[in-house]
Amino acid sequence: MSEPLLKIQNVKKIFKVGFSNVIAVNDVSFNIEKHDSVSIVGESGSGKTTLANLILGIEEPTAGTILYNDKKINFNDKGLRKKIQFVQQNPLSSLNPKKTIYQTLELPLKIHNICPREDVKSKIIELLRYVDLDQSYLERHPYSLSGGQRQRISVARALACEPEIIIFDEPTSALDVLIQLKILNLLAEIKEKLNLTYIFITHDLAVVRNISDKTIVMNKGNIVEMNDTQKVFESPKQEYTKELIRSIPTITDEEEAAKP
Amino acid sequence: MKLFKSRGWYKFSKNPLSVLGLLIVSLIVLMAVFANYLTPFPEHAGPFVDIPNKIKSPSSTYFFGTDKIGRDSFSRIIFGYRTSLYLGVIVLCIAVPIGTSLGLVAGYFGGKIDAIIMRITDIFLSIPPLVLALSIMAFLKPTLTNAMIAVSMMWWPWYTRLVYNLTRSIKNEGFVVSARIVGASNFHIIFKEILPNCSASLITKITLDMGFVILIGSSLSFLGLGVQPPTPDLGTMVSQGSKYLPDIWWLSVFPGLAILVIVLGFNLLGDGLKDLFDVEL
Repeated sequence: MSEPLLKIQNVKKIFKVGFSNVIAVNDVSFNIEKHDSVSIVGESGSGKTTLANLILGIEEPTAGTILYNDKKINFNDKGLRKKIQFVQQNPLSSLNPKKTIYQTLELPLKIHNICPREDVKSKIIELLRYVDLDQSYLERHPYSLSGGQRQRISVARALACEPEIIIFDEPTSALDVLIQLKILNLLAEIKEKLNLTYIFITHDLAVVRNISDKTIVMNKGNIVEMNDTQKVFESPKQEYTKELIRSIPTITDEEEAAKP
Repeated sequence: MKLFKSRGWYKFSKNPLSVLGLLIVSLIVLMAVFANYLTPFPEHAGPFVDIPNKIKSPSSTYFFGTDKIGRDSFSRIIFGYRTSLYLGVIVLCIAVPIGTSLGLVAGYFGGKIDAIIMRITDIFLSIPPLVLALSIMAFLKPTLTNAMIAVSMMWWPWYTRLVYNLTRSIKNEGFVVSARIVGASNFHIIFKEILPNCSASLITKITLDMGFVILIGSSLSFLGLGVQPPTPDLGTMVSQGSKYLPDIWWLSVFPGLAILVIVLGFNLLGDGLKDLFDVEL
């Protein structure tokens, strides 16, 4: 087995709230291999978003290290910056309302000198094609797009940096069910095409089951279970995981009966 | 025209007062710009004397009458608008960029820079505007340029306060976080991501402020600290005419009304924009 792409070693994050300390992430360690698709699940407040921010470098860990290709994560390292990208939960606020789609997608290309100036436009059209949109969107503003379309633009922006890892924070929670499925299929397709590594931060276990190979279950800042997604769903080891799976809404009685 | 078919225009035109404001402002601006061609006696704006025609009451030749040296009040009021608008534009051209950039920097970086900038702003805001302008004018010679400097000095903190609050809320928006993650510089984030999203509030405030700046400028001239004769200025005209009240009423009443109309125009227009952009100031 090759060296893991991302190594998270004994990471701890404590926030000071007034005079008390809140432990958001408590001594967490795991590795992510290249081309993995990992889900981090847990209820709200379980520390999963903080963990994502730590991996992105927005927050610094209180203790422990996060290594990407054996290099310590540093938010100001432009080279590292481009390798780990992020797609946000809320497609309404993640695009600047004053910018056209062209301007939004142009930014990462210019910052990282992805392509020569004269090729920017064709590169943007190529990016739009990856997310199943065409060049008619170039001059449009976010307000004229649907939630699903905006989320595609967010994905395209992340892809523009030519990253190796993309972190998705609840990528589908603001979308309706049909669009959710389309986006998830699209993401899976892009992952194969561009050989990417995905990290999903989510509480939607249906999404987890559809898209990820590995699942990490978090509760109160600790990892309670970490295994292949299939194993987690078929034979959850921890009571907390069982509880999470039991709480998935189901449609048929067979599905209900299949719960642990 | 495309503009008059747009949704924005529809929303704006639903309030007749906003349209009235727009009408007043555009009419005054046009008159002021083309004052040389539109006024019956453009030469009366300068040091002109026509003793035989002094102190004529309003008539078809002299719409608003003439003053004590025979100058047409109507022509001088139109040229007075030119002075007022000039003052308003220059003051805001100085105050808005200074206030806005300080607000952006304080709001975006926070910490010590925030504390220093905002405390200075608070000090300026705690002094009544006219008092501040008066005390500055006490040090400087009473000229139009110095009046502009004095008014600008008291105007920038309002923009710092406004933009500071906007920046503090916009910087936590998803698109700013995204820009940071994509690797954008602070400069780009401040001027390309945050500032454009302040523009609606800024345009509205600038429009409302035009009226207030003109009012303050006129007050300074009224007190003899602003524009000096023979340059026509509404405030100066009111103060000079007030000596002859109530018999020669037209000398101060018409310039006074002129101030009222321009301030009202900018206020109505500003309120219309406020509703149109749906902003809080």
